[in-house]
Amino acid sequence: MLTLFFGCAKPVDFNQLDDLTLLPVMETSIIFYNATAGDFFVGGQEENVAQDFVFIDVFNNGFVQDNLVRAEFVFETKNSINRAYSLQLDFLDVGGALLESFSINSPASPNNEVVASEHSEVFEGATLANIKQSRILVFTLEMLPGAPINQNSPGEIDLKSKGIFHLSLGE
Amino acid sequence: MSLRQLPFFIVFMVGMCFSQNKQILYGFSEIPQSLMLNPGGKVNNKGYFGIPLLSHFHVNAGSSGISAYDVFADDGVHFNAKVRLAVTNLKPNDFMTVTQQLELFSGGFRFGKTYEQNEYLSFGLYQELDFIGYFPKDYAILALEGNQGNIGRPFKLDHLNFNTDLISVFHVGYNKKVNSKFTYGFRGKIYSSIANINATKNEGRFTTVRGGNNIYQHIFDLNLSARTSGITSLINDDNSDFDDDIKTLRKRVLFGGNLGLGIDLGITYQITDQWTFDASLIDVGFIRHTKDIENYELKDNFVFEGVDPIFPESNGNQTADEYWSEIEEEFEELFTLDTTTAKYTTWRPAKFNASLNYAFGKKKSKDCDCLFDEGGYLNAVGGQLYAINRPKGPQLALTAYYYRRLFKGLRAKATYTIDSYSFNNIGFGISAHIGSVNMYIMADNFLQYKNIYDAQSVSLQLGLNYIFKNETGMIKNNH
Repeated sequence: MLTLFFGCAKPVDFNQLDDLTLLPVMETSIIFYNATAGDFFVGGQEENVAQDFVFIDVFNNGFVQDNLVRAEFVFETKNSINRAYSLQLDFLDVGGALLESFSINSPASPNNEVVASEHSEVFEGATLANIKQSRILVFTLEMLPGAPINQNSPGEIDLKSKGIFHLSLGE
Repeated sequence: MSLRQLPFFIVFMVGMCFSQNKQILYGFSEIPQSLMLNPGGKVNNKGYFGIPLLSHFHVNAGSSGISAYDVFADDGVHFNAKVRLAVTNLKPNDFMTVTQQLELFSGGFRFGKTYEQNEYLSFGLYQELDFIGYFPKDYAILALEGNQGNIGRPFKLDHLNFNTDLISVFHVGYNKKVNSKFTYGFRGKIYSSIANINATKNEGRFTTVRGGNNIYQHIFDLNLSARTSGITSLINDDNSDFDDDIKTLRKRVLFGGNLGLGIDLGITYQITDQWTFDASLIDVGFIRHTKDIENYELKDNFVFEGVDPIFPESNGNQTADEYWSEIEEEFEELFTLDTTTAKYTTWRPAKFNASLNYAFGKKKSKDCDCLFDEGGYLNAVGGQLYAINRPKGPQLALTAYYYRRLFKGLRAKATYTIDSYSFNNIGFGISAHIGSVNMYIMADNFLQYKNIYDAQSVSLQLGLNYIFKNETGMIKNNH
């Protein structure tokens, strides 16, 4: 009976476990903002540039370094202000050196109807390596030249975004 | 032992998937260990002792929904494709179990006031490993696919549900044949837990939904916990000497672990000369874990929808980085494991057995070699029900069997079982009495032996006992 127990087995290969590759794709919200035309009129005059930065630690870990193979950032803007906008994102390394940069443009809306636009940036290979090296992210929102606005100008600008992260685990 | 060895252990268990049903041994009254399945079973020896370490060995492994061959077949199909198919086909209530038992010693003897000696005391010490793990389907989907194709789908965190027990059990059982119709028995058990790891109370979900201020809202509702006892001291001890760990384990086998109590109950009722009914309840008990405990908890709620770097609403003067740091802290908190040493109680997986049996075919007198009891029947058929209480509810098995007395103390039993693993489980067992020595071996899932890896469950029991026969020198068939 013991012979029977161990005797018959079709070929199996447990080493196949080494071949297991998981390729999940994670989507996450990243940045957003919503502002009225009046938000760009501060202290009696137009404020054309808003800039800020954050220290980012999300890329600074072994899991992301080893397994992230493709990153895509998707931005959706809706603008009903009669001014065009440009949001520039700068990825800097820990010493402040610029690694990657791109801008998202939103055209002006002369009749204050919503103008929707979409923008996406894909990072793979060398550019992805730059993203993984970045530790500081600088946001610069610029209101481009155009018809003057004031506190009571109509319209708003809305930006939503997501990151699409392709992971490859187990290789 | 170190934590690094754990993954191999888990892979081993996934690969070898092992259950607790002993359908062939149940009711096999010539084998003293059948009293472990029904303390109120029939006894037909004057006494016995198990050959130490050899009297009862049992392994039983099973996985519902899948076999090792399904995933590991060397068939040229890419492994990722087979894993993906398996994950798609498996349900969150599919499970794997492994049970292993080894009797260290056991014995029993008949006693009583009257010349009939209708009472029987049995005792022993055995070690048991019991694992059950349910398939963590949503975790597997998240790892395979991510959330991209699953927007709006809640990933249910209760899918992670498992328990592992390594225990030793000291037991003393009492059996009394009240009259020719009715026998009852009970068995007290002291459990000593060598190690326990369980995560049976997980709740919560992770969901990505559209909407809110950004494209997605990520809703974290986490209520995860795992409890361990007997593990920390083995992993965290300074020695790398396995011998020292073995010494610690040996102490725990002999009442040095976390202790618990349990009881088995059973009856046999002889309805007519040929019809018998019996039933038992096994391992109704608990273990109180008070020593060497380490528990982990992850409890939090958080909704993340990204960051507003330019016009943070939270307050006007905050810089984007301060605002971002706050969110980073929230995330850190969200995934911070709380460690506690709170005492806890685990319940043993209680088992229920019942059977209805019909004996027939008396040996003709002209063939009688007078080794058999004159009143004995040669054959028996019957149906058995088995149920075991598991973390997500009971699991059932139904067995039909044929039992036959062959010659000179040789008995055989064949079973057909329907359970969570398969509808075609054929089992076979034999018990031989050679002089005073009783040997038995039984195994199931014979239809699968043409390819053992395709068996969704396998079970094997074997053992060796020394039997003090009845005064008549015969081994009665009271099956």
